[in-house]
Amino acid sequence: MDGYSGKNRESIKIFIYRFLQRLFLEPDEEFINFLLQKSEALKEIGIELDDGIDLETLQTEYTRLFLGPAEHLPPYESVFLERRFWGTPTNDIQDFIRSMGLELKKDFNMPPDHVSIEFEILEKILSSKDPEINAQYMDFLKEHIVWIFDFLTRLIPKTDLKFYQTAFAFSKVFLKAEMSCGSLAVEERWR
Amino acid sequence: MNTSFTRRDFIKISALFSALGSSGKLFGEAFSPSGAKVYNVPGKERKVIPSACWQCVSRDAIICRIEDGRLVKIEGNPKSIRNRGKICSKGQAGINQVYDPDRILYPMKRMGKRGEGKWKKISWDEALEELTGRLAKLRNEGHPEKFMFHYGRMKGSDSKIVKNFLTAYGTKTIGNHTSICEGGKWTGQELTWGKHYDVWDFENTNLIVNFGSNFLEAHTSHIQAAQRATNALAKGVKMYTFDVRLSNTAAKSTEWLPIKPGTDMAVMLAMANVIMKKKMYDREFIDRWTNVSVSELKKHLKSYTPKWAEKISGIPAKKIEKIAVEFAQAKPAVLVTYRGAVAHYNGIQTERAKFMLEAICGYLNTKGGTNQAVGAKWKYPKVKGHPKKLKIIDGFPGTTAYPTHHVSHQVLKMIKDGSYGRPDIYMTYCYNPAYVNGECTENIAILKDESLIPYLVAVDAFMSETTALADLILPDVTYLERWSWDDMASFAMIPEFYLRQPVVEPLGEARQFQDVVCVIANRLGLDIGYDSTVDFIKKSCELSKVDFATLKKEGVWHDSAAKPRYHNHRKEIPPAKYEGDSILFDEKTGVYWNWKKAKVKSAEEARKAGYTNTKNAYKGYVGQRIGGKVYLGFKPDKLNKSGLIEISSDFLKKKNFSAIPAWMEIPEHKKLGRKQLILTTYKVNVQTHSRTANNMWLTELYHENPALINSKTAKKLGIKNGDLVKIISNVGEIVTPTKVVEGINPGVVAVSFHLGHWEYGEFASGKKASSGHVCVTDCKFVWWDTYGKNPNWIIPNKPDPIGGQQRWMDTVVKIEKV
Repeated sequence: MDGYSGKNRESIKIFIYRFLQRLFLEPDEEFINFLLQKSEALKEIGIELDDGIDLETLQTEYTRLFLGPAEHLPPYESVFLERRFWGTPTNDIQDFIRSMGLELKKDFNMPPDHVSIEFEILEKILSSKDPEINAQYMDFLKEHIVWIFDFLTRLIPKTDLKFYQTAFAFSKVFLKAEMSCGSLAVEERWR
Repeated sequence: MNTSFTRRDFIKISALFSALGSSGKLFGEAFSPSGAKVYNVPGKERKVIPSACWQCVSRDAIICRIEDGRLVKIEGNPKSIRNRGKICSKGQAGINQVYDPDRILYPMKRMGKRGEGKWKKISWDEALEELTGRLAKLRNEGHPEKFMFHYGRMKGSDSKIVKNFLTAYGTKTIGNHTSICEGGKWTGQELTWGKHYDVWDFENTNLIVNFGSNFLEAHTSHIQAAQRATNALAKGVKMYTFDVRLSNTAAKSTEWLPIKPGTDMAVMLAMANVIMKKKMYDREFIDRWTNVSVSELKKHLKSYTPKWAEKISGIPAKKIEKIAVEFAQAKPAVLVTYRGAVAHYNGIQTERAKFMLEAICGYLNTKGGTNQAVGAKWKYPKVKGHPKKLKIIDGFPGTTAYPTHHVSHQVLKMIKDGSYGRPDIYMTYCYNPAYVNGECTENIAILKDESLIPYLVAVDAFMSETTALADLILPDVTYLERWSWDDMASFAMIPEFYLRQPVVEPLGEARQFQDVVCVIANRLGLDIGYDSTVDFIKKSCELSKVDFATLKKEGVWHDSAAKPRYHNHRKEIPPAKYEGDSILFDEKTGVYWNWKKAKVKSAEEARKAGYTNTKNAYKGYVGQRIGGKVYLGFKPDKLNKSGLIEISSDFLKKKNFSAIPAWMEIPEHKKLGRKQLILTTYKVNVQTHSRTANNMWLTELYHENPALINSKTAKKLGIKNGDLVKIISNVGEIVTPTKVVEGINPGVVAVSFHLGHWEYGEFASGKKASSGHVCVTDCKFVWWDTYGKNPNWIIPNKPDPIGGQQRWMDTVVKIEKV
């Protein structure tokens, strides 16, 4: 795990979290353009694009996976753990956001325990200039990464798109590395 | 595939994403700085927001406790004079509606075949562009009536806003669902005492006689009725319940009388016979307020002896006589009916027999008796117009004499038939015809057929069995994210104005449909006079002189000086109100009426046609002359009846039914074979008809509805408790487990409503929308795996011949062990 040390380690993680945030939000023009432009580089790190993939394909798959209305996997911690929107994890996340001196933008009309928001919190913890906030990284990870890891395990077999399969697998590998770094034996427990 | 990162990987990732990191705006930015770090303090403050329930049509006043943006508790609003701080289990489980992960949160467009389950999320803008394009086309072609709007649950301001829009658009092809509820009861009342809805003054009564109502468990005014009846019982008031099944209401009664299905009227007629024969009637009330005489009644009722009724109903003659005497002596008593008595071939005359019996004793519109409902009379912005309609909402011509609440369960059959036109756009709003009507197989086939229904739009918060077949889904908010004013009947006999307001922000892109119609109206260039639901409500408050701020703060408002409105009919009408150019006196009926209000062209024309024969003359009703005075009387609605209680109905005579309620045998029940039973349906206390089965708390309590049969019947058929049986009718069959009980009439098999969904969500159908939760493999919450059976697969869609009520309780079935 040499690549995981070194001085640019934190910034690499920030970039990965930014990518993960975007991965779990609705795909838009910019996102597909990015993927298409960087397809070779993505392939290098194991994320493959399907032949002829376009925005519509990506959006349709995203809807099917995360928005329904047929069988889908809402990407919310509270739905995953308590089978409801606005469960206890939602309030925990809300409290955490406040403790960082942040608040959710008013136009975000979903509960704050969306997986993208949790990734964004991790990114904000790492990129903060406040050492008190930086110190929270491992605690937040321990608290919330467990469900995400299990969620990804459930998610991978549900998608037929190579892009999502490989991107979710990439996410898992990254999170696993983060967890082992923090001595978290989570994968075994949840698999 | 990689299972871990190598140093090389990290260098690549660094190269790939660091370049992108600077582009910034590619990534979702959900946060903005708040200015300060705020740490969680234990024991957060709970905000209280008053609102109104809408798990069922009772619509009780509630208060909702919100902790940091999350709804955590729903309670009854103690300031309400109707539900007085109480709500039922369904009301408390409302939290399960708003936070149900199986909700539909985005507009969806069908992708594959109809019903295939393939959807594309589209924006509201795209959805409305598509819909308004189609609506504009129909309207421009001169056929706005080909837009059919069919609602299941729509009351108060929700209804007014949508109906205003439909008027402005030009369609009156509007379907409802009253005929599968209790439409027959209302038609029976309109033919007899006028405006519908009867309120039972339990707390001031001396005796309760109940025919086929399970009001301690489920009712249109459930909590209002149940708490008042319970108080009466606690005081020692007796209650007799006639029911084919031992409901919890029957169980709480002084005595349960296991009557044969559809024979309630026979017992009522016999009770009336006893009271007339024993001269225990209220002659003054009969002479003054009804249109029959004591001698006419005696003559009519003579043959309906308790012995005669015993043969038909199975209730011992002595028992009928005893209850009749107690009823007449009670002064006052209330007589309760509901679907058990009314959802039959003879239901409307049964309802009329109830009123006859109460009128004979003078128990109508009196303290402790049955009263005309009192509800908030909101004034609101109205849109005028001359909308057109397809003649498909009142059933097939000639099948229903007076469909005053329409025949909704025949709509799909009429669309299939096609002789009376078909809608090009069929929009359902909180309405699930595939599941809630009888003959599910046919309903599904019609809804799936694009040649019969070219464009199906569903407005719904959940994936119902009908929504699953839609071409376009518009996600509605739940009632806890909704604005409406409301007006439910008040058992306090004082009108209560109340408000439903969002207790949490709407989730996702769910939008209140009333706001959506304002946008559609705007896109179509229709002027409706308000631009949002809140705007409409504020304008209604101004017009009604109700303070909006007070309603928002308290949830409810009533005039503190108001007294309970008993004896409404005795109100004298001053001469100024019945004299003048626009008023005519109708000699035949004794009615004063305003021909202008009835929209007749001239006084001459009105005089010539007379009150009874003028279309919608009842709208101009002013009062009833009795002796030398004019009284408000029993005001008509929907039919041009007089201001008297019309125990004898010319309307019915004209259509060859008995003018005075007379025994009508149910044709299918005349000759039952040895193995034939009558299927009955019912409701339990923890579910609503079709809209709560995905509420986890409720479905944990009730997720099985085995067929109930009597132990004698079971023995005869060789069925043991728990055996799987096939229940067969002439429209289909279902397989279900049985529960052998004593508390049911031996000739009956009972299957409750509520369950057996094949869509709607995980708890309702096993068909998960949100499959991502831990329960999938590691279930902490769901210990049951049954979804029950919907009896509608085997119940035919048949209207009663007078009002068009769906005949829920008449189906003849055979049972076979599987």
